Order: sequence, then structure tokens, then C-alpha cells
Amino acid sequence: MTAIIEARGLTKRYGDTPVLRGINLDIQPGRIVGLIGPNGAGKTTAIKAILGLTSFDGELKVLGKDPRTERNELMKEVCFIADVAVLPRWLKVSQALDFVAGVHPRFDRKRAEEFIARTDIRLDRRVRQLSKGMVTQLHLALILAIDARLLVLDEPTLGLDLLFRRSFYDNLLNDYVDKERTILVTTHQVEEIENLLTDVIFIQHGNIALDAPMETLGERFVQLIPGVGKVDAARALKPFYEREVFGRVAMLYDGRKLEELAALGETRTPSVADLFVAMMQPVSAPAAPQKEAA
Amino acid sequence: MNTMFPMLVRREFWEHKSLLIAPLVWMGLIVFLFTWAVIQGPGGDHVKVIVDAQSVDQMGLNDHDREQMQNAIKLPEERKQSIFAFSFLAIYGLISVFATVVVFFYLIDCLYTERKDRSILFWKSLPISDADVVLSKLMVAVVVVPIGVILLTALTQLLLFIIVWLRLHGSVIGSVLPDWSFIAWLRSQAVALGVMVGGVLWYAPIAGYLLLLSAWAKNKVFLWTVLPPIAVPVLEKVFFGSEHVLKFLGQRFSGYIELMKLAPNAFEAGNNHDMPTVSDVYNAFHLSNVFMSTETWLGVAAAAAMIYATIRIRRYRDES
Repeated sequence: MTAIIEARGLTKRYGDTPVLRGINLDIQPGRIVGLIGPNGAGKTTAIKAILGLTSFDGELKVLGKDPRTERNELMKEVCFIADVAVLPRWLKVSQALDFVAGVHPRFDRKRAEEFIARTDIRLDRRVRQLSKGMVTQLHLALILAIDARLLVLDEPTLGLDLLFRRSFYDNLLNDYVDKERTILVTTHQVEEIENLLTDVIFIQHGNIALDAPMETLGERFVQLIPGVGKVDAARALKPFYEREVFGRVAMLYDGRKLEELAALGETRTPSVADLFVAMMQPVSAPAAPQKEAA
Repeated sequence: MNTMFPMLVRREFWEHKSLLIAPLVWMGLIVFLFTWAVIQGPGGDHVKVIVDAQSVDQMGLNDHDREQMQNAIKLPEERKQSIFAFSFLAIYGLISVFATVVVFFYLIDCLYTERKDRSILFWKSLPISDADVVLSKLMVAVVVVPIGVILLTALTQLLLFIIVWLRLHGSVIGSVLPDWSFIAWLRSQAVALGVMVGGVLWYAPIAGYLLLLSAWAKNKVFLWTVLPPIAVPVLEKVFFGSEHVLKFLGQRFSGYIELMKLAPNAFEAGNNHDMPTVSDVYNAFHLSNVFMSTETWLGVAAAAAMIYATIRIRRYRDES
């Protein structure tokens, strides 16, 4: 199967500041990929490059097309929600439907109307009259009614309350994921999308710090809380991160056998959020995390 | 041009409702003020007066007025029709100058607001090329609104004629006025259309300049549009003592009128005997000069270059 997104040495500099330092990506069809990193790590720049919104160096193919030169063709099969605030405030809900129906060959207007009918959004309202959550619902209704192969979400739930965030991802799962479509999503709220993802990519200082399928995380990473008197033995096995929780020490290991660690205390599979914190802020990390791509 | 183009143009009128409303309000104002003036003005007594020299005497005018009016009544219809020509062109002028102001603000705003409110990211999430977007905005300014102005002018002319006719027909002043002439009305549309097409071509570089700044300026786009045409000539005068830029700009603004070589005598109607014929008025516009001038087409080329630059900026600008 050909990759939906394929990047080799993707590089971007703003003046003297490198934002992406030659990253490699292979995102396969049907995957739901979380692109996770701290502010300024290069997430949004990577997404902009994928969407043809910024120039870059290196090789990048999205759906087999070059976003720099084939953007118009590309956007027929790619959707994105950049931020909740991008729907113009003067736009009426009915006009939004008219417009997207008028310009997008793959838009299913009936589907969007059905989705809107399930919300409190009225067709004669302008975007400025809707609440922030409703604007996101409207945007999602428009986007989900487009039969696209790739959906890119850049902080789609920023500034929304928990209820709207939850329903956003529920709708996304129910209406979108059943098809052979690929989703690339960035967010700060790692824990909220953890169960949704099939793959996770950590990005830090313009480098990929981790690129792994979710199911392999349990095989690779183990969190250990060593038993009394076993902390030194645990440390000898070179955890890449350790922190104190309620007076006990939690250590994270990359590529250690579970049996080896289980003998030293309680083990469990770390959450994506745990891993993210561990890899992004190696406060007391004696060893750097193993990097998949430089 | 493609199938989504009409939708892109409609979108512009959704966002910029003033393009539609402002000229209509302006037309309403013209019709209202004109109606008021006609009602307040003389000749409104609606007395049916037989149109001859004696009836003019009955109006209690002084000798000079009487003579003028008698002469006017005696004028051949061909010359009376030039009153149509004047009034029609005056209405076209009033509406088109106003529409130009509206279009000016539209052009400096249309590629700026979408960046300011970040809605550009929504438009860019749809499969619409930057060329289509920029050209749709240009079309609104140089085709859709001008055609609207012509239609609005034609409608206003009809309305005003009906008002005058209702008020003055059968009266002495009414007899000075020409009869409704469908031909004269049609000719005024043709001349207005010609003046419009010539004007659009001649002033196209200004439209290109405004679009370019609208796509380029980080903020204060109005200042950016008006500052260079003022500051550059001033700086040139201060540092070089010359006025080349000023002369060039002046030529670009007034050159259109000069090229048309408006025959001034066609517009002098101070004396009844010199009243021009309707053809004199319409033929006063030497539009072919505008279309034959190299300068016109150089301007169009400059506009095309600026439009191309605008498309490039919208395509590659990275708003972070």
C-alpha cells in the first residue's frame, strides 16, 4: 500500500531558526495518527507543509502529490480544521452549506444537514451568533460531509470545554473512522485522544522523538515502581526517565524485558501522556530516549 | 473560468453587502432629492396650458425669461433631446463615482480581512486555487459592479423621467422638455458602457495596486494605499527637486479624460441657439482614442503583473 504521507528529510527554517530538522514520516492509509509535541516543536509547521501552506526543503508527498505544486488537486481529497476560530464570522450557516456544496466536488450536503440537525445550530444563524462549541460543530459537520482521504486536525478543540471536546471526538469516531480514511491530529490534550489513536508521533525541537504504533508501546515501554530497597537495582537497568510520585519513584524503560523489571516491583504500560512528559522533559533522565529518526 | 466561479462571486456579496446596498441607497437618495426638487420647483401648478407664445406671457415672467422660454419651445426636437443626453450622463456620473468609492474600499479590504480573522485557513481548506479567489475578487470590482452600475443608472433614468413627466407634462415647462426617446435612452446606455469599459481598462492598474496591497499589508492597509502616492512625490521633490512621479500619477488619473478628447462645445448649452444636438453630446466622447492608446494597454499589462503578484502572495504567504 502506498503511504498517504511520505516525508524524507523534511526541513523548514524561519530565518536562522530551524523548525523542522529533516524529519521522515510514513503514514499509511486508515491510520489515526497523533502528532504530539510541546509548543514550538514544529507540529504546526509540519502540518502546514503537508497542506501546502508553507515552503519547505526535502521530499514530501501527500497522497502521492507534491503539496507545493499540486495543492489544488490535493485539497480535493484532503480536509483540515486549523483552529476553531477560522470560520468567518459573517458567514451564515446556510451560506456555509451553499458555498462548500458549490466549490467541493466531494461534499455531501445532505450529510452535513443531517449532522447540523442533531445540534442546536440554526441554518439562518451567522457564525458570530454561535457559541464556540457550535462553531466547531458546524466546521466538523462541513468537514465530515466531505469524502476525503486525509483529514488533518490542528488543535481542533482548542478553547472548548470538556463536553464539547468529548462530543467532538465521539462524532469524529462515529462518522469518520469507519471508512478507509486517514486522520492526522495535533493536540495538547494527549490523554483525551489516546484511545482514538492507532499511531503516535512525538516531535521535539524539529525532530521526531518517537514514531510508533500504539500497540507496540506496551512491548517497548514499561513503567516500574520499584519495591523498597530495589531502587538502585532498578536504576542500574538505565531508565530513561524517573520521577517521584507520593514519595515513591516511578521509572520508565525503553526496550527492557517485562520479566526483568517485574522482579523489581510494580510494572505497567505507561500512558501516552506519561511517555510524552518523560520524553519531552527528561528532568532527571540519565539516558536519552532512543530516537527512531534523527 | 470554471464552474465554481459564480459561487466565488456570490460569496463576495455575502461578505461585502455594501457592494449591493450602498449604491442602492445612493440611488434612493438621488431619486428622493430629485423628486423633492421637482415638486418644489416651478411649473408644478399642473395648469394645462396651450403651448404657444401667449401662454408663456400668462406665466408672468420677465422679458428675458419669456424670450428664453419661447426659444426653447421652438427648438427642434433633435436639440431638445440633448437634455436627455446631459441628464442621463450626469446620472451615470453620479452613480459610477459613488460606486468607485465603494469598490475602492472593497478592494483594499477583500484580501486583508480574511487574513486578519484567519478565515483564509478555512477558504484554503477547500479546493479553490488562489488564482480563482483573486480573479473572482477582481471580477467583482471590474465587471460585476460596473454592470450593476449601468443597470442601476438605466433604472434611475427611467424613474426620474417618469417623475418629471408626471409633474410637468402639459405645462409650459413640460413643453420645453423633449419627449421620451427610447433611442436616446439606449444611446446613453451604449455611451455609458463605452465610458465604463474604457475607464475599467485605464484604471485597471489602480485595482491591481489595491489588491496587491490588500494581500500584502500586515496592517493599516488604507494607510499603505494612500501613503506612497503622497509620500513618494514629496520625497522626490525634497531630495531631487523634480516632479516626475507626481506628473506620472497625475497623468494616470487625468489621462483618461484627456484621451477621450471630450469636445467641450458639445457641453456648452448656455445659449439656446447653441444648444447642441443629442448626437453632438454622445459623439463628444472619443472612446476609440482610449482603446487605441498604447498607454491604456501598458496600464493593463501593469495591472496583470500586479494581479499575478497578488496571486503569488496569497499562495505562498505563510501567516504564522
